Amino acid sequence: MGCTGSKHDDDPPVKSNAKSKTENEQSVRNVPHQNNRTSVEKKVEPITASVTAPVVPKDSPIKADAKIKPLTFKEVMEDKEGRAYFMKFLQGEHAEENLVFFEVRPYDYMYFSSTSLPDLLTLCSVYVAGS
Amino acid sequence: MLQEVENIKSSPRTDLQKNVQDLASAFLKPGVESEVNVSDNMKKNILVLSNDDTNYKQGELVGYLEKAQNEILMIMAMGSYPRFVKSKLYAEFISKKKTEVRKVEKV
Repeated sequence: MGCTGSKHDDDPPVKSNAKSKTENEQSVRNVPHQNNRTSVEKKVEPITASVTAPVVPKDSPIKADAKIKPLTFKEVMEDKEGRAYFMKFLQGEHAEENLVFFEVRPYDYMYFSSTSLPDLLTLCSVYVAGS
Repeated sequence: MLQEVENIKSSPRTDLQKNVQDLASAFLKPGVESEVNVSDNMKKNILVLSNDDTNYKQGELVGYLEKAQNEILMIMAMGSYPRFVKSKLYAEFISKKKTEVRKVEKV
């Protein structure tokens, strides 16, 4: 199709017109056959919906969500109470071992380690912001 | 499990290898009750290094521990945390924080 583009520049729109004509003809033909007005309405609805759909979300919901931005993982982990609440939640899920394991780490090798907890958390918040 | 953690915390800091052995038996050995969701490869590396008495490489071991810690953070941030944000406990935490802030402002 695209290889001989310059010579047949006029062709694609003509073809598409022809297609739309045939489609219109078909739909016109279909109507008398089926004799159902409801079926015609159903065919029309999705088209109008698809046209209006991209316009609607730009106006309201995104801005509204932006105001109630949840705290980042980093903010909660750096807050003592936040961690406690997160721990409670994990215990409810029976998945607390990750956080327990994590809380042990800084203590017993901080004397050997160059990487500090805040560094890891900033690294992590980058991932969270991306998701 | 929590006792294990306390033991690790109270043991002398120089004995890293023994600490890690305790830690591994609590969190990393397959089939343990509180097994952590680190990749199997990571678990293997830490277990092998912490049990290797003849050729002990502390730097390598610490490196793996850091990587494991990082993995755990990622897992929590990507997995549990989004669910936590949608939970009642998170809402409770936020409302508590807000009231605390108001109190501070009044004082």
